[in-house]
Amino acid sequence: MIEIVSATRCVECDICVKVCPANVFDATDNGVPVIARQEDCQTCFLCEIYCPTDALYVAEFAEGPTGITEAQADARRLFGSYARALGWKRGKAGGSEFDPTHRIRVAQ
Amino acid sequence: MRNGIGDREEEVARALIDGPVYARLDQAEPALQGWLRQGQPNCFVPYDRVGIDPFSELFRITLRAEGTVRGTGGIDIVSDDCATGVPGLYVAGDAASREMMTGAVSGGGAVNSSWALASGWWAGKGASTHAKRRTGKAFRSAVQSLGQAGLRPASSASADISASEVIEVVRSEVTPLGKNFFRTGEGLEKSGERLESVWRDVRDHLQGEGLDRVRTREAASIAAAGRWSVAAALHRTESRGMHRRTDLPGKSPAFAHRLVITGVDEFRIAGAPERLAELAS
Repeated sequence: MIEIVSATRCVECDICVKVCPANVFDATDNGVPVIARQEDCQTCFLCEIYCPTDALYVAEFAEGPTGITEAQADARRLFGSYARALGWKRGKAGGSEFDPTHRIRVAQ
Repeated sequence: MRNGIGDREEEVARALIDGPVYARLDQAEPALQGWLRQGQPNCFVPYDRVGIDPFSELFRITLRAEGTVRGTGGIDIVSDDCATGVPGLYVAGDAASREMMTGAVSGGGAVNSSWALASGWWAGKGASTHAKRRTGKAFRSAVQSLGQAGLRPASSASADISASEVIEVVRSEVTPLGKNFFRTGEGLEKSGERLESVWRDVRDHLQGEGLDRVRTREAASIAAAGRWSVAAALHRTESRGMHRRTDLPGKSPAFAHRLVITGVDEFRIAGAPERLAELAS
């Protein structure tokens, strides 16, 4: 289930608040969203893959919190690992750097 | 056991009733391991997070009741724009019964993904066309809230019944392997009686306030669906696919069709032949 909202990574876009199908998060007036109803988390990972800054961590265990800390997740490079495995964001093979279209435009 | 797939799933289920069961994916060659990881990232991220190498280490497994997810069953579709028997209600994906397209098969990626995309497209088109035909004030002022169970109880709301208790009771009847992987007429009768009494309590007394309304309505849906599924299981006096009656092993040609349940509080079960006759009349 959802365990960590990293205040150092979060840009307060509240996308997680909107995409969560179980309404687990609450937006706050002046800060990062809070995990308000952790027990409602279905471990679907949607919030994590939608997070533009990899600020969320959903642990693999669906029945209850594992208690993993931000420092532990960080040390094991777990933030964003699901999105990378799926090929989203930085995990996706690039390609635009090999695209010669901009050279054609400059030459025109 | 070397391979627990197919017919041997029953052995796994029996072992799970007796105690914990562990597995290891040790039949995958190194090249296959790479392909699996690349092709099924969803499956491997959880192992990576818990810190297990599933190809060499044992991990504990269980069976999950998925309801109509991945399989057949769901709300019956009555037209090619995914409309249902309820005017204005359009269904897609797991909520929509897809056996008219795929037959009685379960399945992951291919069947599920194409069905999700296609039914979503059709249902969206159907719903937006329906809404477009009914724009204007007349429609808005005529809108009435229809939801009953979990929202507007038939009798007095009671604090003695909670959404979480309802869900707990339904789960205890529909998810245990001893009751629902291996079914018996007697066991299903008992579950049916218990679910009937839970349903009556839900219908008459369950109500929530604010955000809790989502929860009470969800609990009402779970109670209704549990009650339907046990009733349909009792009706099907044979074994077929995932419906294993230990007291009635073997398929019966009389049941080589789907069952359609109509109604909520009072419902009836019809087989496909009967339904076709109705459509023709």
